[in-house]
Amino acid sequence: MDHSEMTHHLLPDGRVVMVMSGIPGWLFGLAVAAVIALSFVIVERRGLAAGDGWRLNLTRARWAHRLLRKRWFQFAFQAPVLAIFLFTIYAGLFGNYASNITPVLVWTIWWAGLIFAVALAGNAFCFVCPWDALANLASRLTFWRRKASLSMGIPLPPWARNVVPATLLFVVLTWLELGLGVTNNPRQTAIMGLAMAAAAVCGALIFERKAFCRSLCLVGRVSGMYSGFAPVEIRTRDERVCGVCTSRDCLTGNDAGYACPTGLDLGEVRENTYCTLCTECFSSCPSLAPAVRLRPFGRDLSRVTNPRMDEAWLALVLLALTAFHGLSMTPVWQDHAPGASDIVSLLQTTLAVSETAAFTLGMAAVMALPIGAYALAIRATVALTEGVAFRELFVTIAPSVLPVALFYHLAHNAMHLLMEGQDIVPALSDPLGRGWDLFGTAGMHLEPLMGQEAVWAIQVALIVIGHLFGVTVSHRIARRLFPDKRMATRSLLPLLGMMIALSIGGLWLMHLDMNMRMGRM
Amino acid sequence: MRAATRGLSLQIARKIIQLSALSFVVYAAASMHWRNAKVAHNSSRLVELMSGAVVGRLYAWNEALLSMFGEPLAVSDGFLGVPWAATVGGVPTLDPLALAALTFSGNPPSPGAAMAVLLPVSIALVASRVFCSFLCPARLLFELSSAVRQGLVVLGLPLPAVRIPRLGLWVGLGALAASLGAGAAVFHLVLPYLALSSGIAVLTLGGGLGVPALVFGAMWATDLLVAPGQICRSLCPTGAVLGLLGRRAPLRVLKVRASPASNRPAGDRSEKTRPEDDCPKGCAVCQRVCPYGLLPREQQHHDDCDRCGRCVVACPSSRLSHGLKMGRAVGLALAFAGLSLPAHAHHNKGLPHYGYFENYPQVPTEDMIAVSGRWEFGGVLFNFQGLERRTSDTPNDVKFFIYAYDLDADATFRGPITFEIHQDEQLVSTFTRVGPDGEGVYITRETLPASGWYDLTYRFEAEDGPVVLTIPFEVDLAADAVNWPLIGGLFGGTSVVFGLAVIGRRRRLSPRSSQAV
Repeated sequence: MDHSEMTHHLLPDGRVVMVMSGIPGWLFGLAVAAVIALSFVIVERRGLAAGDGWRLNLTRARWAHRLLRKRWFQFAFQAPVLAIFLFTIYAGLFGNYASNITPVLVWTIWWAGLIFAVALAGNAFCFVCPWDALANLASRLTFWRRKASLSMGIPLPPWARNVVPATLLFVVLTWLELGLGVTNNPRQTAIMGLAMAAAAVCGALIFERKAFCRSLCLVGRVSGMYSGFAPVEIRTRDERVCGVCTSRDCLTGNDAGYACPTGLDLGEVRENTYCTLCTECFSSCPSLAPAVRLRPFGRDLSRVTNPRMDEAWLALVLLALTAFHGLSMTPVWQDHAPGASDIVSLLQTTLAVSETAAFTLGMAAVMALPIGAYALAIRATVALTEGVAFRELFVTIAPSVLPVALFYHLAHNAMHLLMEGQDIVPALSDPLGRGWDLFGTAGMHLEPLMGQEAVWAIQVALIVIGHLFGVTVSHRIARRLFPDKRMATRSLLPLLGMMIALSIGGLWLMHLDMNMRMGRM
Repeated sequence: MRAATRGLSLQIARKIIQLSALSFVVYAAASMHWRNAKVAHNSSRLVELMSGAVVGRLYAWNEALLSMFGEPLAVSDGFLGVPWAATVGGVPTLDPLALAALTFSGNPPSPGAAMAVLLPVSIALVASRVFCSFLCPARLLFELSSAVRQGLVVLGLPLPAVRIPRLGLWVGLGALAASLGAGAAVFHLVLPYLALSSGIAVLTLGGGLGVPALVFGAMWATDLLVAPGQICRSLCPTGAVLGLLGRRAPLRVLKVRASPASNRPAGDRSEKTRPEDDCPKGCAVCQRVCPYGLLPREQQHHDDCDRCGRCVVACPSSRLSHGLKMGRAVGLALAFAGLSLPAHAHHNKGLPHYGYFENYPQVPTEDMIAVSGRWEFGGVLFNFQGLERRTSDTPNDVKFFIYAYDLDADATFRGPITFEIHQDEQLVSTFTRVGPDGEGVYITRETLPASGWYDLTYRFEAEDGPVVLTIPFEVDLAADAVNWPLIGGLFGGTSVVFGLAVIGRRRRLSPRSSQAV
């Protein structure tokens, strides 16, 4: 990598920020051209191809299915993750308070890698979730056996049966992460982990099923929104089997397995959104109906059967927050070069407020942009067409921004993983920051995994792919909403415009220079 | 005839007061320029040379104006700020929301701040939202927008008139929640009059159009084009708070008897309404002139009414009047008579509020002050909170700036003092000064063993004998400490829930309970 293009800034608190160049102008221009040109190709060709695509049942083999029915199956995966979680908390609380393994493990590896896991394997993190493991241990007092739950079993009040709490928590945690710099602080990171654990355990002990997973867990709900894109699903192997089922053991639980934690009925589930892949239904189903299946990417997004306002908002907030996350790392947002002007300092001087206040106000304004663009496009669509109200369209079209958000998220995280992920190697040898050298790697100062040019190419490719998926999905939804072909095409114009604007916005963020987290020197 | 003039003089007075309030905002902002020039140059000739003839003339005029009342700079101290937090004629006033926002953003209110809200609160208790109609600079501009709007409607522009549900308190609560992290400045973007005033301040101080001005512009455009009167009635948190305080305000627009007293039976001097005094059917003049579209004829308007009195002037049959509910008014007057209103801003004599020492931006952490007998004493601490203390050679050092003030003599004590720092009765450190290190302040730097509460003891000889004063203070050295209370709270809360669940299961599984789960 060419270090001559890098600028370093030393912050007052001893941290170092490295400024990485964004994608060059020619690549930006090329990508924008590709986004616009390919959009129309999609509308011409791919959008018309409908159908559900292929499925590959991974649990067709008897031994595989039998393995998933084992009660210890999930715990076998949760246990090591739980151990890592507990160690991370320990390191965060009691390791060197300035630098230890916790921030890089949590924010660079886990939080950035999570989105890749979702894109490739759905809610795989929920399957191994350490918070859920703790909740299970506390509410069942057993590692994996089927026991009467300790839970008070209070039904979640109707006003909380949505993803609004998770959405709000997501906004708050992003603010904490970026506005207060929790990403650099092991203590605060550990406390956030503990707070999530407390919420998970209390949720399981007070409410029926897993109210925490269903409504509050932002990790689960964010993965849930994205998992509609994933090529993995748990569904019934044969709808006829579930069609004649009267006991619905998957939903209610029985002696062999707990009830579905998020209240899904295997025979009726059509989307991955709320499925935590916990495999509880494998244990409880007497007809061996559940199956883990592979499928083409992006299947659920264009066929959401029962779109909901709260989910639409979560999708939009996801888009807005990822965009903001990207912007917040650029010098446009905050330039550490001495005397430079940027959005935060502009707000600070104009309003005469603290940096945190300026950050908060700027964050609200930046988040309003993509959401406003979406609302505007929907409003234009309503004006151009007949028969569909704003609210219905707003809710129904929302899944089409998910691929755009997901792939922007992936592109952004690819940079984190590939450019910052190597920090984990020295941290592994000295996880508590106490000067240990367990594996002889403590002193290593590794180059990023990939060169800048390679990362640029990956990022641009991801954004273009996400855009194409988004256009395809919105096209399919529009065709379903408007049976009249001309109307469907007309409805697509504002949406296409919005998609192109969003993708160009994403590319522009990539085009900007980027402040990299570098730790201390 | 009384009908034509009833309340009219009040309307004229109202406009004058509104204009004065707006002028005050502009003047207070502009006087910052004057104060700067006064401190820097103290000569209109110099100001003229620096900034041109016009500015020099303005400077001289202002100086002449202020000199009529005393020493110009001191008089100018009495006219500062915006209605949110202002000093008018030397009397400090503070929006009650400002006090709440300061508290929320982690600045415990000083006694002076608490006293400064007394005036606005008492006005609200007596006359509810009267601030909005008489003093709020934004209201004046909103009245302008409603006039423009009427013109546009006459011209045939089909403007929507959206009614917004009353959300003022929620807006206020939201802004307070935001000020938890972002500071009280959030209100600059939420409160119409504050956005306007700080917009004017930014403009006057040469910063161009600031964000607050743009925010107010958006509010104004909304009021003009979409939702007339609704910003004030439904979204303004200050209006909502004042309305809440004034729920039972004695001053309100009441319905009175229309028929002149001479036409009534002898002995009936009651001003109370009767069924036969009801308004003519279909008359809604009061509603049309009301900026918020309230309906005084039904007497359902009190909560939102800002007592502007336009309906009193407009009512064709003079059925409305500013009235005072006497019982309440007397009660309130008695209550206030019992309260003396000494609103003193407290000031720590010559203490530094911000400083740079040895290249570390240090944070003044403790503003301690106490009074014992004739002595007021206290100080400011500086340490390295929240900073990278590993890079400091002496991370446990705390810098003390201490003073003792003789309230009787109205002078700072400047003699020798011996200071002692104790923790749990154990002497931690002691130091002696023969006199103040600067400006009447004793300065030292001490290394403290740990975070926690300490006592600082003064020992000195006054002319009437030895004096011993003790003041407690807290030092937070350990920015890297594990936050045990928070962790304990998380674990404790979870354990309680766990205990409850266990007890609950015992009950469910007990033989007496038939429904085992």
